[in-house]
Amino acid sequence: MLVRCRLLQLTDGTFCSWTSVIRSICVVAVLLLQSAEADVQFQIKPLISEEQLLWVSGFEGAVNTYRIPLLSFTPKGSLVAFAEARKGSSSDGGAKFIAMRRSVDKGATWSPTSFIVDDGIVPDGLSLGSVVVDEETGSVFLFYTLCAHYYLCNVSSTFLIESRDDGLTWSKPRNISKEVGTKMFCPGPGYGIQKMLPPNKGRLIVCGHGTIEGDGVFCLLSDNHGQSWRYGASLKSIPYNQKKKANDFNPDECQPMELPDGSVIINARNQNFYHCNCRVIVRSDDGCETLPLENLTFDEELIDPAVAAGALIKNNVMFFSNPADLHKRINLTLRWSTNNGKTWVPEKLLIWPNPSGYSTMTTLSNDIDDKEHIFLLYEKGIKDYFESISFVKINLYGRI
Amino acid sequence: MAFLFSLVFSLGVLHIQGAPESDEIKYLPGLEKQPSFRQYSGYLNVVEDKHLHYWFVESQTNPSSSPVVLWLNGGPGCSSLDGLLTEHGPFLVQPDGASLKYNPFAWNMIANVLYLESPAGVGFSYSDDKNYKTNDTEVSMNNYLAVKEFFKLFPEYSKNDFYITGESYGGIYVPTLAEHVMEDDAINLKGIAVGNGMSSYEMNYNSLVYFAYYHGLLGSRLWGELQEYCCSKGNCNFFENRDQNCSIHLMEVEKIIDNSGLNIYNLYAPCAGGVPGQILSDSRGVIFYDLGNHFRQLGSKHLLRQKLLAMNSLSVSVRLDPPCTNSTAATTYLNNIYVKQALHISPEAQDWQICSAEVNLKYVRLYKDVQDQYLKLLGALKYRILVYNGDVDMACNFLGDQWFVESLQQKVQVNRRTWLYNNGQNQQVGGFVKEFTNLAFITVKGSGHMVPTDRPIAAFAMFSRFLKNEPY
Repeated sequence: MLVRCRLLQLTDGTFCSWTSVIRSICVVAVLLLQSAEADVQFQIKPLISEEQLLWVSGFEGAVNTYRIPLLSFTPKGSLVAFAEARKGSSSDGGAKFIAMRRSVDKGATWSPTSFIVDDGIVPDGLSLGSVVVDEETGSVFLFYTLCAHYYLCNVSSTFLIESRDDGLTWSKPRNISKEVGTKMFCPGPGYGIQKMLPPNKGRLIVCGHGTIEGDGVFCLLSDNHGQSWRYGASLKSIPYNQKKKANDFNPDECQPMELPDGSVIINARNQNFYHCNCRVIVRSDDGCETLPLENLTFDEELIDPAVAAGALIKNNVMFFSNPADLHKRINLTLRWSTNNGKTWVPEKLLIWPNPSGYSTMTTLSNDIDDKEHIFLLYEKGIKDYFESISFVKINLYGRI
Repeated sequence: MAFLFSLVFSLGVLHIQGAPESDEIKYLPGLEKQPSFRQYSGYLNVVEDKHLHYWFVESQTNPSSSPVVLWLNGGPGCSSLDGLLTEHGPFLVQPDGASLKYNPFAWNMIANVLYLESPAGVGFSYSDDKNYKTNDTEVSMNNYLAVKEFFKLFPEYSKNDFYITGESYGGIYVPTLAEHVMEDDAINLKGIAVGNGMSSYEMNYNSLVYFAYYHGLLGSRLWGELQEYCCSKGNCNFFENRDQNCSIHLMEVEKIIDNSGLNIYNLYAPCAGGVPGQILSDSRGVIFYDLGNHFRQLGSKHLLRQKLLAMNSLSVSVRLDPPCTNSTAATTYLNNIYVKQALHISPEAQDWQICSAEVNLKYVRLYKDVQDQYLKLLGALKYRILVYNGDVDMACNFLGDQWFVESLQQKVQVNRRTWLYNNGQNQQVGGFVKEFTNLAFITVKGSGHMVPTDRPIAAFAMFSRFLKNEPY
């Protein structure tokens, strides 16, 4: 049933309300499409149709380490990939660029790297981040944080940059601390969402996490297409603002998704392995105004070594990517669920058996070919997972 | 006793390391305090009769693990000691021509820097036969032999990373020398860096006309006529254009750029000593101010150089000063008898001049551009190349070198962007950088031809990032 909401709505919004004759034709068409969609859910047989490295640590621009991949579609059907370009070392602090590459042919070829933000020569530079597209206005927003680790700096600030030309050029960074305060907020890493369905249709939601002590899942919301932002839901760690111990409750880096019923599921890193070495799942029914504890579950099937994972809904199938291991960042694996994560299909796609770290996913929805593909960007290496950032094009139905 | 011990000890160290003790500069006049790093000055003898003067300053941090960087000023015919004393040396000569002041942005803060006066006839370098006619090929070979000789004298540095760097006509010297060095497995060449280099006469000249127009030097009447006579369908050829009308208007351009009192090395700097003509004479003979790198196709230029050459052979003293620069301080300092003694200058060597008129006028230029050399270096897949340009220089303007780098058609790694440096107070834009595989093109904003002189902090940041292979 969940499939239908969005499909009906889209159809209705375009031409189906014109006349009753057309409406009845539409209903038939919709029903046909529905059955087709229901079928494809059970034909899922993901296949890597292309893979290429977008960044190699130590290479482009003599950058020491590329980490924290972000990937998004754009309003015009391009793909944009981002990563932290850590200038001097592989550590989380230090000075960085935001590296970006863009593909206008569904990932086959990519523009050269652009460094779209340069934090200079600071001890605790920028941290990525979350990318969110406003499909109503065509804007792409990229969120990042300065001084996320309070290393030789006292004030942490959340910034965003905006592109109104499909990711070609980016605005001057805007500090949104005046709107949301300076409590450390590290967006993502991953993508933010725009609510496509009620409640709060059109709302932009960017979720992230705090410092380890003041950790938890926190979401920024905008109901005016990114002009202003405020804090919405949070799911705080326990104990909050206190040093953590092993197995304390500490939800961390997270990825939101909108379900076909308009609720939002957030799939979060379980930093201190509370309850299990697996993912924290929490649902919001009010557009991320709240994340009630009764909506909190642990998905023991999604074993996880505490990492930023990818999650995406495409063709009403939920996809999940992470290094599927209880302890180590190895075995980057794609899982899928046809019932919004209640259970996971036993088959898996092993994308990389060796060291692999953060991952993220996106998809396009402009033409028929787009229906068959999702795109994944992940940290990949032989010895260490942060040796490169690799782009994977996955055909969902085993075709090339 | 302690003194004796330390003397013996230091001699022992010298002996083990192999540096030529006789070349060590023990006491350098003009410094308030003698340096904490070691430095050497002497001669590298090549092809029997040529004696090339070098000045080697060890790194101020870990000399044994720091790279060795060769520095070559251009001309042709100009001395690399100008680079040492006025650009990026450990101490810079002061206007009094007697004192030296430590330079906090010296390149030897992080590298062992070898300043070589080349070819013979330049600075304190000389040959036994005093014949100073030479050409690009001979110079590159003799520079290579000098490098070999250097590592023979300083074997303790032969395993260190080695970089060849230079400026201006060094744009020819550096890649043509690298072409020899890359064939030699005994030398650990890692890369080259060229500042405001002559990379292609054609691109340098064509770009200069645009540079002049868009920096407000040419009026619309002249620009319109250049468009009419030198350009067709949006393509302009200001270089070797056979159209008489084009040549006539280019002579106007030449007059403005070369002969109206503008400082060709830094459009926005004053002309040192006021506005001179192209040729002056004083009691010591004729001084001219043209290194012969521009407007070479114009007949008038060629005639003038022939005349100067004739005067030189008639033993009228002909001197060559780069226009609008004041080299008096360096000249006074280096010709001081005590300084010459400290530097172990041979009595056979001529007096020091910033540029040698004889070498310059007799020099035979064999390369029109150095594209082949760059492609050969890049093709080896292991050398890093930095091409940097102060962006208000007109001698080798940034646009010509930008065109040259683009013409190599290498794969872009990082799109053009600003690069930042900390000026001691806050972060500033140093200029722009575009990175290709193993090749970076950098502009230094607001700098003229002598980048380390004009923008010492930015230049040092750039040099350090290049040497350490860190992001710009």
